[in-house]
Amino acid sequence: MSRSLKLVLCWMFLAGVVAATPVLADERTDSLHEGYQAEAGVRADRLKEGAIQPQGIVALTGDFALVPIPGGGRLNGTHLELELSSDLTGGASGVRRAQVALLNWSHLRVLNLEHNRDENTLLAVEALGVRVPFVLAGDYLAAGNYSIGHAGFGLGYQWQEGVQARQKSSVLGQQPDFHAGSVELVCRLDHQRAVTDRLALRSYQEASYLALMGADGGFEGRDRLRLEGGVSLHYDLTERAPYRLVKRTHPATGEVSTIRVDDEGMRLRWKLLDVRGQVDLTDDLDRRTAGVIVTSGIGGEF
Amino acid sequence: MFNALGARIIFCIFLGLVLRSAGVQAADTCMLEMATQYQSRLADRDQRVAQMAGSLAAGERKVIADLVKGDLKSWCTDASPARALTYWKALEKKLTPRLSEGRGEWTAAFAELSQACGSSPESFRNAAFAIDWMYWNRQADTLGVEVADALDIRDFFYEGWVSWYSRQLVSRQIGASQTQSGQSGEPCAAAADRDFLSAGPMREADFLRVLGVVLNVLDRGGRETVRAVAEELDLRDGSIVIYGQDLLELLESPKDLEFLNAVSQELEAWSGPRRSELGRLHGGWARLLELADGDQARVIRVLGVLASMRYWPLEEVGTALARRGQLTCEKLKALEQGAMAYFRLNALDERAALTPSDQKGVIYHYFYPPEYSTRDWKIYHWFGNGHLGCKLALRGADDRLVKYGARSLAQAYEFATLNLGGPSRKAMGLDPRVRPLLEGWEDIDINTEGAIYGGRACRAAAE
Repeated sequence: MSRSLKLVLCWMFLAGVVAATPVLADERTDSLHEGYQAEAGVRADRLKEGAIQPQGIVALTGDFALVPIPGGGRLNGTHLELELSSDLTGGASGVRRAQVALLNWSHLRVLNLEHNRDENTLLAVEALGVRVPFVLAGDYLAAGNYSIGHAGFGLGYQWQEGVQARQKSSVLGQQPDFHAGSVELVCRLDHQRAVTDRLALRSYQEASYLALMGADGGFEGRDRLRLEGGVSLHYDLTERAPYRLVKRTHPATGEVSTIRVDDEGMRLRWKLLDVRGQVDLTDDLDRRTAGVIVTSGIGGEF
Repeated sequence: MFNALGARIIFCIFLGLVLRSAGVQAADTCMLEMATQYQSRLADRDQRVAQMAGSLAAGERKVIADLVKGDLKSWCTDASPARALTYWKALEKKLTPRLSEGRGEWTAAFAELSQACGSSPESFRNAAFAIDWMYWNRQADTLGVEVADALDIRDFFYEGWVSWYSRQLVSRQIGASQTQSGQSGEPCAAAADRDFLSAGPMREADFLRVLGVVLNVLDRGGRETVRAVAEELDLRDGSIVIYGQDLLELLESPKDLEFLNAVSQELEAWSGPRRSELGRLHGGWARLLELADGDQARVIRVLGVLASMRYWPLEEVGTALARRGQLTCEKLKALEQGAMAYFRLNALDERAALTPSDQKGVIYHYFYPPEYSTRDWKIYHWFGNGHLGCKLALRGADDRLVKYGARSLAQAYEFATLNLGGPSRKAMGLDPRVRPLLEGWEDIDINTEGAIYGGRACRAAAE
């Protein structure tokens, strides 16, 4: 690997760590690794009124090949996600977040349904999301190291639950539910660096802007500008070797040589540690302004 | 096998009798000779298939016989790529556990599959496509032979398909020309149907054209380049063949056809008796230039148009010409040679490639000019886009605009084909996410590099 590429990757990981420090990622939006995963950990959100809200969480995610293809076979990328949470004092617990996406590819999302209690989202429907990928570093033959960006948008609908809030008269009152069309703009960078054949460091940074336009009695617009980041360490537990040795014979000399080809099958990985965070620079949608999540987990993934 | 061979011999005798009784013209005589050649090749192929299948154990033969009656029933009759996923899953499920330990047994298994199908052309093409698919996804080494050897086997099967298809075109051409002569030159009825020659512009391409113009609203050069790319591609409704007009013109150019014929003979020689020449760095490119009398533009034009689209020109253009009675022996030979050149260039490039010290892939150099080498195997991308770059340069585009045109086209193509890459790789149990993106980006690079080289070559030739 070239010196400049190493510098770029190092810089990006550093940026990932820095970005992860104050904040927390709400979604497991890594769409570059398809598979199944279970993880558990804690999260802490800073609320607008200044309080810190700690929670324990357990999350299950899975990608399935469910959508039939005309002529035979099934499309991969149907994504299911369920996150349960409990406040650490043993109080309220339940489903914090649930997501079902008919297609959740890295460049295309179709019919993505989501419920998020902490964001007061009873139902969010992303009808279509398009992400244009761009590769900053990495190649097919050494896919353990890469930096891949995506920029795109999503179009959909959101149903925000009305919450208790101070009205203009400073009197605490119940807001009505808010139904709105949504437009989201996203820019995201994902990086992976193979520390050894089996140990990999991943990080990401994401900026997103969500605009809702709808009605809660009169026409209203709400928006949110969010920055996210995260860094995680993954260890490959799979028994078989991470690569194959492929023999070649020189056509003139008959000399035999070998090349290494990565084993691309699904692999069992232990997520040793995952630290993510988010900060909302503007947010009309919920009470949180920032947060941090720390988890560990295990899963089978490509 | 006897049935298939017998049927082919009877076909040949029948064809001969029909032509004799009809009083064949000189052109038809030439066609009849070609039909005999194809017939002979197919007969040889049947024998070799039987030899290849011979090493397979009885247990595996039984499994394959059952597959052809069950999960792979359409293997013998349906070679549409849409079936590929289904075929792959069936092969993987039933054969992988049995053949994983044996070296070279996959070759025998594909041969046995063809035998079980009575050597049907579709079974040849399906076997070739299965190997191709493994190669595209860096799995060909798991077949138990070296990758270059796997490609030779692939080409053996593809040649069976191409020979069979060419023979069909001979029958069609002769039938059409006789109908025409019998009807005082009236066009045959079949030609009225929609085909490559009668198709209008591809409607879906309009969207890309408009998008290109919108994205370049402030850049006149960019707008004109996008428009020029669309015109040069000549996308036609219902067709996957590009550069249609150039292809038709090339088929009328004796010098280009002569060059292609010479290249085909060289490719044959490198595949066999002169294999050791593959050890020479950039040796293939040097020889191609010799054959073209130093005309780089000719090398890029002929290989970029006729040898960068698999057998599609043979199937689409060949069929359209034959329906009209316009397929000459020279054109048929060129279409057939172009189809096989696509595969042989790839196989030879793979065999000649260098093993790098970092063991990461291989370095392809043989058919590229001395200043260029790549770790991307898609030589047809380089030549195909070389032709695009050439055409853009001849319209006055400089390197920057050539790069922009080729890169924009490649990005649109790679983005669209991610929808195919992800699901098919997942079905094969391969990474459906990161690698298709990385590969797509590498393809964009090789496309751009080919286009720039082609542009410079044609600019220099035009001066």
